[in-house]
Amino acid sequence: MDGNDHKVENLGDVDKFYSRIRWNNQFSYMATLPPHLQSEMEGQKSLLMRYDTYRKESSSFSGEGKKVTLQHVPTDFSEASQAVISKKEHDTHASAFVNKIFQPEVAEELIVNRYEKLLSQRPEWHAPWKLSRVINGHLGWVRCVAIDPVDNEWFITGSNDTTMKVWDLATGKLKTTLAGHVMTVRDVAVSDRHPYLFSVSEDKTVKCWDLEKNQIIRDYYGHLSGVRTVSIHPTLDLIATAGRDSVIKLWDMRTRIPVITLVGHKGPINQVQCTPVDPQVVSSSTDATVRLWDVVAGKTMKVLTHHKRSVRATALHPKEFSVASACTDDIRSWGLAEGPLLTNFESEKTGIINTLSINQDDVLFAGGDNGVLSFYDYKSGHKYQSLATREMVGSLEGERSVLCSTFDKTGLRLITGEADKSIKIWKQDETATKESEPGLAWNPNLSAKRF
Amino acid sequence: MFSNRLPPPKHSQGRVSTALSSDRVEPAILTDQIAKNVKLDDFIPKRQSNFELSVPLPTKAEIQECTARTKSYIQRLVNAKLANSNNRASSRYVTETHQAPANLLLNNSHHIEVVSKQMDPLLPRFVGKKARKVVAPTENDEVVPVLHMDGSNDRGEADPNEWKIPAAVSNWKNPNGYTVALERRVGKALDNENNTINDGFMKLSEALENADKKARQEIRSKMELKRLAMEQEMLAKESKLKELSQRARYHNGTPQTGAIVKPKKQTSTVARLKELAYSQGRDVSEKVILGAAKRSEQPDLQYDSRFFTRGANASAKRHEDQVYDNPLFVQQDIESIYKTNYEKLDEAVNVKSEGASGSHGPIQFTKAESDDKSDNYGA
Repeated sequence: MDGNDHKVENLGDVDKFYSRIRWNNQFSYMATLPPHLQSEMEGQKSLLMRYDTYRKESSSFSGEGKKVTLQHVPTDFSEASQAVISKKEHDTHASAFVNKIFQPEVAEELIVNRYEKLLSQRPEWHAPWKLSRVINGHLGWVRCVAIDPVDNEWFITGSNDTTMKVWDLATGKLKTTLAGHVMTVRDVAVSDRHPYLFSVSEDKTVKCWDLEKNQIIRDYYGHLSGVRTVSIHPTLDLIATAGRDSVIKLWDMRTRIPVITLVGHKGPINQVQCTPVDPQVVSSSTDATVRLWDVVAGKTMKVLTHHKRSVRATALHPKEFSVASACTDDIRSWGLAEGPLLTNFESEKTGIINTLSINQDDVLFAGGDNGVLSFYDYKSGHKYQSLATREMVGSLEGERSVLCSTFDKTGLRLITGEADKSIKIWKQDETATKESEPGLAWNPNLSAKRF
Repeated sequence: MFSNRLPPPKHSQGRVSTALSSDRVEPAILTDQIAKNVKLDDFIPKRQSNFELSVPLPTKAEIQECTARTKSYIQRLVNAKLANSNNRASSRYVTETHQAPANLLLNNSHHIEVVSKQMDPLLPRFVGKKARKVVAPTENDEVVPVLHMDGSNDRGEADPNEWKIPAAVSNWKNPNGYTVALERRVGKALDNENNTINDGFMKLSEALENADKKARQEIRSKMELKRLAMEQEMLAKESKLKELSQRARYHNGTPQTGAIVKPKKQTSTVARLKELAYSQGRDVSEKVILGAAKRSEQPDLQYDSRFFTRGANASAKRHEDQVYDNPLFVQQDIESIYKTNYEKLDEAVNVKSEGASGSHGPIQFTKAESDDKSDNYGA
């Protein structure tokens, strides 16, 4: 044999060589292989190959109606799964099909069932979003944005130029500028129970503004380092702030006392959220964890360690008790109180995510550090739209980055603050229908189960 | 600690930490106690099998209960802190009981009031201390299993190559004078296909050359034309002059009849100058014309150079050992620069004549004598 001639380098090659000889001696003349070998070969085939053989078999004996749907030859997996779905709608015996493809004797039963369930559902359709207005005025990056929670008439943005500006939501006109910080304003929060605005800055200060007089009325001293995030407690007169010193401080609004300090994060904290019941504080940090805090006990209720990288953003759902969190390439949503994993969003290759927002129509928005806006269906985790923002004229391409975002109270407009110093308002396309704008393909796979 | 993109430094023995979470947490997943708590359910998204899974908002009763509980707790804390900070009644009274030194005439026991120091809330509190940027985590919090894989494998295979930093070869500085190969200097031009010269360069250089040639030709032709025009003009001028001179020669023979030649008046120089000045519109004074205005005599003054040098040096600061501001015989030296020192000259001449004659004079050529020999080099 010519195989003897050439040098065998290592043991693996030896094994391969002898198995080939055995194959030639024993099985090459056989018309049908023994069943155990046949099943093993089936197991080595990819999903698509198995699907193809199944398609051939079924088309050879099935009726005319089925053939129409199967004429479409899938070229890649996404199309194949599209075909699977369209087929699914016709075929009532889908489980047989799934069993055939997934080979229940090799695959876990659980996975098959889950896949079957996943295939049987479709994500909700949402109209695509498009840019409706660009507002310029800031002299630096627009780092934070908050909407008027009472009347939905104005919104406020904080910027790297140390100022905050109040804008009219309907007209986009500047109403007033608030100056008081000496470094970047990192976060603002507007209270719906007081005429107060809270702003935090990299200059380690937390300030309380009276929106009736547009003046600073209180300062909260105590953070050791720059403050990155603030959140107002929905029922109590408390604010939660956190920042680079990796502690969360809960301040009594009136007396300016840091009532509780929550210690536990091992890196700077990126965002805190307050909820009315336990966990009353949800925080995300650069140590790649999300922590749910029991305020009264002063310690962590639950640590969510699924994320691999710094969790830059979290967002509470306005209609249900759940929270979404995002790190690079990975968005997940969690049920609150206990913190079970609800959804893995289709967020592979999204890049660094700076901000998340959720509206009441179950749209989750993720703003990327590379200026990509991606929109997800919150329930299914399906990414239905992805578009890139346009940098302003005179800005560099590298300044294409979404830094902050919020939906207005109606959930119909999305306000984003960007690194090109502009504020952009996005709206849903009202003329779009499900047929005209189907969005990105729904391509369910279990690999959304990420580790 | 170190980036996992870089090779680990040679002196480091420990494992390079890759995950963002702290090292304290990571090995804990291996212990039984922790591993028991990790369930498959932690990884399976609940909504995947049922999109309509409801996660209701907390009810009003729940919110009220939680609010009341938290509020009372917070109120207690606030009260305690307020009492601590600005209530003097809370200050402790300590009775000092230790034995006072004998020489101090004090009572054996006296009261000391201990009051917590009031702090200005507007002053930064950490002046003087080194500001701690990050608060260290408490040591007694429980260990949490990490539910994600090592962060290193989430990038593709191609990426590490992008991260690889080429050998540290500076394009700007070469203090040791090493010769650096060109391909190294360019950076990482790994694939040779890209190093071939683009076709466009050839085209561009050719086009540039053509354009240059064309421009030069144009300029040359323009110059030629200009030169021709000048020549023609010159010729025309010459012929005109010739004609004029011929005509003049012709007219010389027969003087013009109509013209009356006035005899030139003999005038004095003064009058002529006056006339000239008048014709040119200049106002020249009588004195100038008569030559009366003379140049003022300037005395032939001679200055001692020392005046100037001393003046310039007057303000200069001198060393205290230096008594005189300049050498004593400086003037002599200055005078002797351009004067011939005959004694010296004579001495030099004597030395020259005494030395080997012919060795110093100009080279003297003598006529070659071997004329009769045939020319070796001639044809």
